[in-house]
Formats: sequence, structure tokens, C-alpha cells
Amino acid sequence: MLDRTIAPAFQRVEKIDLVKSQTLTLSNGVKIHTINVGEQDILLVHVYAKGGIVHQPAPLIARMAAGAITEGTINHTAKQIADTVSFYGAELDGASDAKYTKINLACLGKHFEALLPLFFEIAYHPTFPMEELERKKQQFQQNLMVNKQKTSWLASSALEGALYGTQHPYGRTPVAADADNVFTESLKQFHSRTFANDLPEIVIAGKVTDKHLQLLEEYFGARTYYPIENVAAPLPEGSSEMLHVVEKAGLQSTIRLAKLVPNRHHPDNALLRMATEALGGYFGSRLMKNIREDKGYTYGISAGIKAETEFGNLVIGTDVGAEVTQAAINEIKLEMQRMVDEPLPTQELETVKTVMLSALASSFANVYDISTGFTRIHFLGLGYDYYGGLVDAYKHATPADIQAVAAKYFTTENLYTIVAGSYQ
Amino acid sequence: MIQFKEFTLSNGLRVIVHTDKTTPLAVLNVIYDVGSRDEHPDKTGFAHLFEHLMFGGSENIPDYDGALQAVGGENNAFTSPDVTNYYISLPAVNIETAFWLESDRMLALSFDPEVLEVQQKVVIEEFNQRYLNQPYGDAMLHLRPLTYKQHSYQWATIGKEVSHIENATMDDVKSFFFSHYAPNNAVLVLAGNIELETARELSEKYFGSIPKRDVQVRNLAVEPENTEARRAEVEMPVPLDAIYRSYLTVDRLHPDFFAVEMLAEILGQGESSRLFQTLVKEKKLFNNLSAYHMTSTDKGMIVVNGKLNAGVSLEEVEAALDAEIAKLATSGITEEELQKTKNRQEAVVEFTNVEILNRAINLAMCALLGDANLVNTDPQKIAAATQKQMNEVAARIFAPEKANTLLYKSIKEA
Repeated sequence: MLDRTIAPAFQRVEKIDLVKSQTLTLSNGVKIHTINVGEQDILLVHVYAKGGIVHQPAPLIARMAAGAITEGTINHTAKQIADTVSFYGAELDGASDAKYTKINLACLGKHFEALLPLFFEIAYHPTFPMEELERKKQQFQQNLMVNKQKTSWLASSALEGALYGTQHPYGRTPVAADADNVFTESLKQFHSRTFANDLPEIVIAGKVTDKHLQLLEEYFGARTYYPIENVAAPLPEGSSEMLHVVEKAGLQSTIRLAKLVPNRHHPDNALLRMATEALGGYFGSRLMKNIREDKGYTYGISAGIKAETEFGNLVIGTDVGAEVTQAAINEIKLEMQRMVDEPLPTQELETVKTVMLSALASSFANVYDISTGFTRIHFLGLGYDYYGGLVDAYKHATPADIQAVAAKYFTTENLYTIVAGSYQ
Repeated sequence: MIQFKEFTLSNGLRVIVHTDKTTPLAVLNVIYDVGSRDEHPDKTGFAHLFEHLMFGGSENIPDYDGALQAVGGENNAFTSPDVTNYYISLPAVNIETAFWLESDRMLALSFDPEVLEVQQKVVIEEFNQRYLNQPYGDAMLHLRPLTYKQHSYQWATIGKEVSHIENATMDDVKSFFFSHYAPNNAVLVLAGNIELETARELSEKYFGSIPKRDVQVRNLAVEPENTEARRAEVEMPVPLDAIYRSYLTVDRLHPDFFAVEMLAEILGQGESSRLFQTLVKEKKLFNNLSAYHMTSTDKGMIVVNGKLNAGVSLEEVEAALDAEIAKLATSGITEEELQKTKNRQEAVVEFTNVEILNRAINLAMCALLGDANLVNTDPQKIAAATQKQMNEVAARIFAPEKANTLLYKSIKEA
């Protein structure tokens, strides 16, 4: 007879098989990073070059240039582009972040050859037609009006302003008037001075063939580039007010507690990630247990480290019933303090280790995750040894290590509290 | 092709095994043949609330999540109008833990009153966060009862109203469990790095002894076709007017199902779609506009929705929308549109199948419909669709008297 009270034996993930990218450098310096993995005949292609928030001459320029890059080229209208991409069942778009503009293509491998000329033309010869741009600007302004009705958006916007300062490139939320100052000429100029000049790095993932690589070389290898300098963001000048409230009547409040913490290069990174995981990174974390599973204040709460730029952010976020806003903030602070005051019980630390090691292993299980796992660190100047370092640190961390890192970062010093909703 | 093997335990549990040795992971997915369509009209939202209770401890295992986290597993679940689906993804070497956990909560729950009390609060916060405290978040709660008059798809999975969640009792919970959660009302899928023989042994060991149960017989009304267009209006403190339009479609196993899917795509998926090109770009009436097919086991619906640009009137916009849809219904699609949508469907299948979890869920859903091999035969049906068939379907689905329209009007906040 099966005894259902006894858990089956199990093994902990002890090592992680990183599926790594292979890098090829073309004669003109263009780097192609290949991740050849998966059974499906798909390709994910990204062209990265500088052209982010730190490079833009005025707010919104990088985002609008990337967002409108598919709206017309020297040889194709927006409609022709949309029809062609759609005809091949592909997705093609542009995006920008702090430092980079990237152009992304997702398609079946068999259609790559047909799509590449258009992809290349979009990357280097966009025209940002006025009519399409006017629509994008209006859309931005109208979406902004809708976003201002969302407590989660209001809180995130206030949070960035508090952490970096409202005039900092990473802290300033674009306003409606910013869009009025975006014109075809300003986007063309930005694109040609940044993305189009800079030596790109291409990431191609999926079922990659030699033919695909030859095609990339044929197009991107024949162009001359003039690499542009990396630009560092100015130092953050956070708000001197530690509490920011955006009053908005409604059923719920969005709460964010946040502070600046070290980035991924810092020696504390791995342990800080562990402490944050224990606090609010997984379903059985302390915040989930207390705020959701014990008190029922919320549908969900999480703590995480966001480190996509040179700065790291510790962010704790949740949406709670308006009437328990203060109570929830108190409980969050209490849980942070508890991690400072008491070492993590051994059993809990073991769970955190298992959760984090397994999550790391499963983040190398399919082509989407493997590709993201590469781009996330590569463009911050890190290599695969970053993940090796995490594995080592996770395995060897002690309760004292976690407590020490909590004592350093989980105090209320420099901790901002943001509320969008009700806060009497 | 997705290769799989299938067998059935003596208690009626159907088991499907899809072995893929390229991944270090294994997935265990259990789908129960119960969704919000099976709820009583005065106790809506219950199937979903019940899904939350499934994580509150089972007969022999007090802490489901803790036990799974200890072996590096991840899990989640979703409830739809048709089904409730639970999955675990974990390192393949630890697959036995997934069998242990999932079988124990099929055997019996702890039925702890405190768990019910807390999860009622959690679900109400979910209701608020996702539907009531979001601009336009409640639109589908209004559109469903406009589209369905007889069938229980008239309420959303979250429920008709918060009071239904508040009023749920432990007796409701127990009776729901024993009339829906049963081996003979479920499909178990194992996918990833697991051999057929291992799956067979472990299925027998953990699920084999769970008794067959008397499952509540489903007897749902068939939603009749509209004979008259329907309209409703709401006024809300949102910045832009919006329009929501629905058309009743066909059930999942109907021969026209994929024609409907593809029509919805031609009409309103992506920037090359008809609605986007005409009403967003050329006529500049909408800030955004899209159409999609909300599929379901019984008759589904095509939903068209968009927010209006500031300064245009709802009347003008609705007339333009009607004209576009009428064009599709009367003139049909082009050969190029047909090829485009086929290519897109083909790509969607490939991109979806990258993830082992998607393959597992898809197999489970198809098995509940009666044939797991639909995962392989559906793409052939898509490839075989013709312009003639699609034009006939368009004319039938999009007849003007079948339109349901919800005007979501912007008013200044009080």
C-alpha cells in the first residue's frame, strides 16, 4: 500500500548545462552571435546597435525612432512592409532601451531569405514619414491618458522619478508635450547618427543554418560602420522625499517600495538576489505567505532586482485593497526588517537555493530563454561566467551571508515608498 | 508532428505521454473537464475560486507549494469557461514528486475553512485588480451577457459579481470537488524527458487507486443565433470612448472552426489587417483596433474592440466599422489574404511548439475534446481551407442582425 504522507526521493540541480552562443566576427567588425538550438524551424534575429535613452537629444526620440522604424523606408510604404511581414507569418519590430536600439525579426527559417532584404532596409533606410509619425504621436498621447488611469502605471512612473530624479534620463516619464516635439527630421537625424552608424551586433537563435549566416554576412558584412562611443548615464539624484503618494480614488492601491542597489557586476549581486528571492521572489516567499496567503490583502506581491542598466533597483510591488494600504506597507517593512534581524532558517535557505538553481536551469531549456539569457548579460558587458558565478554563490551561501546582505540593503535607509491609490 | 502515446487507467483516467529527450525538464499536466460554464447562475466564479483552493493542502500533503519548491518545481493553473488546467514543470529526475503531489489533490483536499476564507479575499482582490480597478477592465463582463442569452458563457470565469465569491461555502466546495474532480473527468499529460514505461508505472502507482466518481452530467443550453442586433451602453470615467462588438461563432469541433479563426485574423490581427489599415490608418478613427476569435468548446465569439481617437463620434465610427465588416461578409476575402493567414497560422504552430509546456497543454485540451491527435490534424485543416468556404462562413457569421454592440462611453470623473 502506498504511503502518501512520505515524499518521494529527489535530487537537487547541481550543475547547469549552459547552452552558449557562438560568435563570428565579419571582416568589417560586425559580430554575429549564433544560438543554434531547438527542433522547430524558427529564427529569432536581433540587430543591436547604440541608440538608447542616453543618446537621445530630447525625450521620446529613441523610443519613437525605434517604434516607427517599420513605418516606411526609401523603397516601401508602411502598408507594404506590414503586408510583406504578415504574408510570411513573421513579426518585425523595433525597440529601444537605455543604451541600445534593436530591431527584431521572428520568422520561420524557410522565409528568412525572402525577408532579409526588407529587414536590412528597415534597419538602415527608414524614412519616418510624417503622416505615420503623426498617428504614432497621437497614439502615444492617448495611451498616456489611459495609463494615467492605472494605479500600476502611476506608481511605476513615480518610482522612477523618486529613484533617479525626475530630470534624469532613467527617471523622467515622457509627457504628452514631448511628442509634439518629435518630427521626421529629428528621428532621421537620431537614427543616422546612432543606430545606422554604430557597429552592430547580431543575435540569431533557433534552427540556424550556414545559409542563414551567409545571408547575414552578405548584407551586414558589406556595410561600413563608424562605431559610436558608449555614453554613461549621469549619477542618479534621488528625491529627498521618501514617501510619494499619487492619490486616486478606487478599490485598490498600488504599492512600490524601492531603492537603488548594486548592479550585476557587483560582488554582492548573487547574495542580494538570494535575499530578495527569499523575501518575495517565489510563491512560497515571505511576502507571499504573509500578505497573500495569510492576510488575503492581495492577488500577488513580489520582490525583485531589476538590473538592466548600470544601476540596480530593488523593487517590491503589489496591488492591495485600498483600506489595507497602510497595513500592507507596515507588513512589508516588517518582513524586510525580520530578514535583517534573524538569519534565514536552514530549511528555508535550502528551498531558496533549490528554487533559484532550478529556475536558472530551466531558463536554458528553450530557444527564447536561451536567447534572452545571452542578450540580458552580454549587452551589460558580462559573459557566461556570470551564470557560473551565480551557481557557485547559490550553492555555497550560508544563513549568515544572507543576513549580512539583508542588513546592508533591506534597511529603510534610502528606501522609497510609493503609493498610487488611497493613502489617508 | 507531435509524437505521443496514450493509455487509460482502470478508474478512467486518460494518460498521454509525449517524450522529448532534448530537454532536461519534465511537465506533468492535469486538465479537469470543468469550467465556469458548469457553474450555477447564482454561484458564478466558483470554478476559478476552487482552482485557488487546490493549492491549500490535500489530504496527505499540507503544503503543496512548499513540497514542490523543495524539488525545484514550478507550477501554475488556469480556469477557463471550459476547463481547469494544472501544470508542474520540474527537473526530469524529480518527476515522481509531481505524481505524488498531483495525485493526492485528486484524491481529496484538506477542506480547511481558513484556506477558503483567505482565498475568497485573494480572489476578490484579483477581481478588483484585473477587472474592476482597470480602465475598460470590465468591458468583457458586459459583452458576455450581451452575446450569450442561454448558454453559461454569459458570465466570465472570474464571476458575475463579487458577492458570488463572498457567499461560497465549504459545502459548495466539497460538493464541487466530488462532482467534478475525478480521474474519470480528467486527462493526465506527461511531456519532456520521461519514458513511456516510467510514465505508465508512476501513473498506475499514484493515480491508479483513486476511485472513479459520479461526475455531474453536463447539460448546457445551445446558444441560439441572434435574429436581431443587440446593443448596450455603459458610461465610465475613462479618457477615450471605446466600442466592443461581438459575433457568435461556432464550436471547437465544427468544420468551420478554422475558417472563423482565419477570418478574425484577416479582419483584425496586426497592422496589415483590414480594420487596422482602413479605420486606424486611412480614416484615422481609432487609436487602436483589433479583432480576435475567443474560442471555446461550445460556440465561441469574435470580439472586435477599439478605443476611439479623441474628437470622433461613436456614430461615425460605428458606421465605418459596419461598412468594413459588411465588405468582408459580402465580398469575401482575396486569394492573397487566404495565403497570408495560412502562413501565419503555420508560423504560430511552430512558435507555440517551442515550449514543452505548450505542447503538453495543447495535447490535454485536444484529448478533452475527444482526440489528442487534433494537435497534428488541425494544421492540415488550416492548410485545406478554401476561399469559397471562408466566404460562406463570413457571410453567415457577420450578418448585420448578428452584431452585438457595447458602447463604452467616456464621462468626466465625478
